[in-house]
Amino acid sequence: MIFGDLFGRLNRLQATLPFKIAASAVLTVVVITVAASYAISVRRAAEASSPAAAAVTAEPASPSSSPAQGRPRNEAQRNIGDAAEVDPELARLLSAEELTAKAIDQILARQVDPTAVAVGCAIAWAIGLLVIWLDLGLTYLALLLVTVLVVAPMIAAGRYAPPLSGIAPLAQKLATVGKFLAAVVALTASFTALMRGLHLALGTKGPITAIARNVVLEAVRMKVSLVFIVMLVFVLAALPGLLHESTPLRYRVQSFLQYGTGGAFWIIAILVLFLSVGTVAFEQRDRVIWQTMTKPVAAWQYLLGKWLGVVGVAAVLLAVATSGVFLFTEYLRNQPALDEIRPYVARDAELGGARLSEDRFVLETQVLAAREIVRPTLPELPPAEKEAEYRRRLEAEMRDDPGVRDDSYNRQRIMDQIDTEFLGSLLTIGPGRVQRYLFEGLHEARKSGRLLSLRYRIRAGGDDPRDFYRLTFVLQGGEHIVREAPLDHTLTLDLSPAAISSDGTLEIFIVNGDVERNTSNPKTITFPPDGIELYYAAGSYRLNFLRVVLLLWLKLAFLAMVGVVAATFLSFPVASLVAFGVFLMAESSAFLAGSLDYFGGEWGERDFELWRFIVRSIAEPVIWIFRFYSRLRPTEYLVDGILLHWSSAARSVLLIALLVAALYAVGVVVFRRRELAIYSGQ
Amino acid sequence: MVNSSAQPVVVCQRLTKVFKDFWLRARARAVDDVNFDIAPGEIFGLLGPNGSGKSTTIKIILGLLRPTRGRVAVFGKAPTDVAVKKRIGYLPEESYLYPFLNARETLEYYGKLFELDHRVRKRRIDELLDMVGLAAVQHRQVREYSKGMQRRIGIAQALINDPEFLILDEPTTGLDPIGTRQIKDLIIALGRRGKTVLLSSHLLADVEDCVDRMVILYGGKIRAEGTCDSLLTSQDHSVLEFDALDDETIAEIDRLVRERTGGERSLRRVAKPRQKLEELFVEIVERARAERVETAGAQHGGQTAAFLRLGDDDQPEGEGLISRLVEAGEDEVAPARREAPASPPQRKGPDESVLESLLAAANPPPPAADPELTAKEVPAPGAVTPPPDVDTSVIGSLLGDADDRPSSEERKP
Repeated sequence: MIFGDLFGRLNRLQATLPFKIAASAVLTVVVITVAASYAISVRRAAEASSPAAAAVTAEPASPSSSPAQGRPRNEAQRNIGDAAEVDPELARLLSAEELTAKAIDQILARQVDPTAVAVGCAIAWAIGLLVIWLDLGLTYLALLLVTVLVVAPMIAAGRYAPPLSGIAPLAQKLATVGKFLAAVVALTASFTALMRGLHLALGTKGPITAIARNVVLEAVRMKVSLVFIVMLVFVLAALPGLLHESTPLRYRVQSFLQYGTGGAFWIIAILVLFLSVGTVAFEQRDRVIWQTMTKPVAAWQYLLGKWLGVVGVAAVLLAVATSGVFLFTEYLRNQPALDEIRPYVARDAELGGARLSEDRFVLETQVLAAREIVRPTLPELPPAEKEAEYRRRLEAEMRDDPGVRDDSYNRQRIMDQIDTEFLGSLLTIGPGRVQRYLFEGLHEARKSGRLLSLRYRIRAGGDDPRDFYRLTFVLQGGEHIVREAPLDHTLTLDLSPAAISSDGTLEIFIVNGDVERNTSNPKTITFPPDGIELYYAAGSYRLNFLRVVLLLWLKLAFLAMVGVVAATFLSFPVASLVAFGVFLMAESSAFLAGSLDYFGGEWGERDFELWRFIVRSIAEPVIWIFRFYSRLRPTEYLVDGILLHWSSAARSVLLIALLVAALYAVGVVVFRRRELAIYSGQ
Repeated sequence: MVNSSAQPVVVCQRLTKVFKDFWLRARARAVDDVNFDIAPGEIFGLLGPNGSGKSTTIKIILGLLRPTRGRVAVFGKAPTDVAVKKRIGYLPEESYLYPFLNARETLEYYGKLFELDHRVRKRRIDELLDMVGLAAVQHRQVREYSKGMQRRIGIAQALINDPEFLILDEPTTGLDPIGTRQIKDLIIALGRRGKTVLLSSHLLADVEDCVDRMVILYGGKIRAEGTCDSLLTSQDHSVLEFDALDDETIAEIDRLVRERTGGERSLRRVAKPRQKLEELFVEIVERARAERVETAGAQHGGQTAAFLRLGDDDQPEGEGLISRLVEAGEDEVAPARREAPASPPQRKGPDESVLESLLAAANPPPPAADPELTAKEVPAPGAVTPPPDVDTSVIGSLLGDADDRPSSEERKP
């Protein structure tokens, strides 16, 4: 067969060293050229479309940060006010409005930021090199050509079909399918290349890597694993199609980050559990393990190899999925936001209005950001007062019900009530009243000179959406800002770091009324528990993304060890149940902790029920064991644009590592005592 | 080549295994107070019917089960010692392989478990695949193999590390007669190289051809133990073999025997030996191979892998030479009891002229035995050296040879 011979020759050619070197060189040149060309064209387009940054100091069209009464700038401020980056020391001299303008300048500068393109090109370059050196260069090139030939016409049809013609809807659907296919091919090709690379990396002699390599092959060649991998690829490829263009860009990005990262994690987690349990349990069931453990393989090597293989597969899947999410997010970022005529160009900008739309501003400062969030330090009730209040309430209850006793259960219950009510009182402001809120630990914010944002949400009465309340924010030094706020809506107020004291604290007084008009609001307002917080930009979104991915991978590593250890002494069905049970308990332990507050079942309570006590006795240790795991919610950090510190990540790494090591030790002890010729009692 | 003075490879003392259920109630006593040793270089047979405890004993030796009582030592150490397993090769009663690996990947995997160097591993895998006849299908996944092909891969993985001690549990299960013959050849070759082999089977003909010593289990207990000769040789009968004789000659022989023994003994049976079915099968297949007839199944393998025959090629040249010299020496000295010759060699019969002259002087009596009877006599490939206590004077008188010297060494088919 001619084609057979041709393919054979091409296959032999792509395995030769000269071809690999030449292909690598060509790839490098192409990637650099593409990256440089894109960067230059984007910069030119941005320069052509946006007015000079220094000449405009207008605010974004955002009710959350409408200009306060401006202060005249002195010479020093004017000199530093034109710079895109501001020296932290000098930033404290700037007002919030000026800092906001600087923030806008920085956002506008991002449209010419080649970092995202560079990251994308680097990923493509790395995968390309892997493909070439794995003897897949020509194969992938052929795949690319076929994909382009099939997909490009489909996408072009959507773009160039006459809008009002009868074929436009069909062309749009065709374009959507084309993009879906392109995403599937890209993800599958990346996954295949990385798995081959992993297979190669585990190619050394020795039991641990040999066993790990086997697990990798098992993941690819066994149907159960393949189903999840295909599911992951299809879900990720289909997700962008579910985002409606009419939805504000920030919500689209948040949704994609939430479902892309979170969804990928859950699919990979389920695969990890099945794979880790199955690879150990099935070998024992099918007796394949006899021919491994009668070789010079120690129990610890066997289990470590199995775990390593599963973790390796999880790393590849997570890398492919999160790379896809990252790159598509960057692509979304460069789409027009609400009220924009072009990316980063507000509709009102050319008319002298706001340079950035609110949608774009929130996206860049609150979503694709890494913010430090500080909540107010609320005082505690003095112990003497608390005790006195406890006595008073206990006596009142005893008068109403002689069965009530002064025991540990009732003491805890009443004290909790007192704490909750006291906290509530601190977050409540009566009509015309004022409440003080102290934010501590703001040394870093003061040092960095970054813009602060106070995020708040108020509730009153039935939260009628037609009601607007006027609030006055009084800062240190007497400066006050009046804002009109709808009920149960989250709003932000921009503040200058100058408001922070030298001891790193920021004191804000909030008045339930308008001090300028000397009016108060009709009802008491309440801040929900997370209804008042201060945040500032404290890091890079991209590095935050990396830390989030690292934490997700660590969680998967923990789950892999749970599966492997469970399967050392349990059959596949039982081990799967246990492993899934642990996973679900760990993920939901925070919710479980909250639910227990209302569940009852405490010893000594009124209306004691034994079954509730038993359930509580089981739930409490579970919550305690998984309390650190439940606090690890890396996807939330990403979606809400909250900074995940390296120190927090390191602490989590250490805790997870300790737990994995403990599980591993238990697994080794159990496995060594197993009679491998017996499975499930047979 | 048995070295009975060295430390035994396997020592089982009062070995007992009782299987219990979930509630720790004793359910089955699979092995009951079993004692045996396996000397280095010995081919040891573990025989018994189904459920007699053979596989359980093997699993205890390998550390897959723990004994309820008693002691097991392999190379002087506990069976679970990881270092000891470097010296062991194991073929279980079924081939438990990874279905998603192909033959080469399977052997690569097991080779890496032994931390074999890449070049050594590759060479051994190539030789083993040739040996078991799977070189042409090495890239097909194991799940697509027939049972016999999977068995061959199982044999190959048991040999990847050139083990000192090889445990074969029903090694010929699923193999065609060619493969069975090759396994027997391999076992004998390994034994000649000084390897220790533990062979478990209930195909007694296969075991009889190969082993030095055996135990026979029933109900978990040893019922018999010893060498093939001590267990199988019947002291009450003598077997003589001639080229084809006419009825008169046979009758004359019978008359002579009665005369010499005062009527106490007579010719009990005359039968025509017939070829074993295995040999006929081998001949047919060899003919088909010579005619280059195509087959999609396993190729019938080549000779035993070089590293198993002569040792690793990385051995110093002298060691390979010594091995060859040892082999040559063993061929001269040891009776070829373990050889499985491909076809019966030509045998020299007695001098018929002497016989004719003897019988011509006699009146042949009516034949005492039915010459039409055939029995599954095993044709000897050569003359048999009679045991020392057999009366050869009858032979001598018939052949006219007063020395009664055997014409060739005793050979076992």
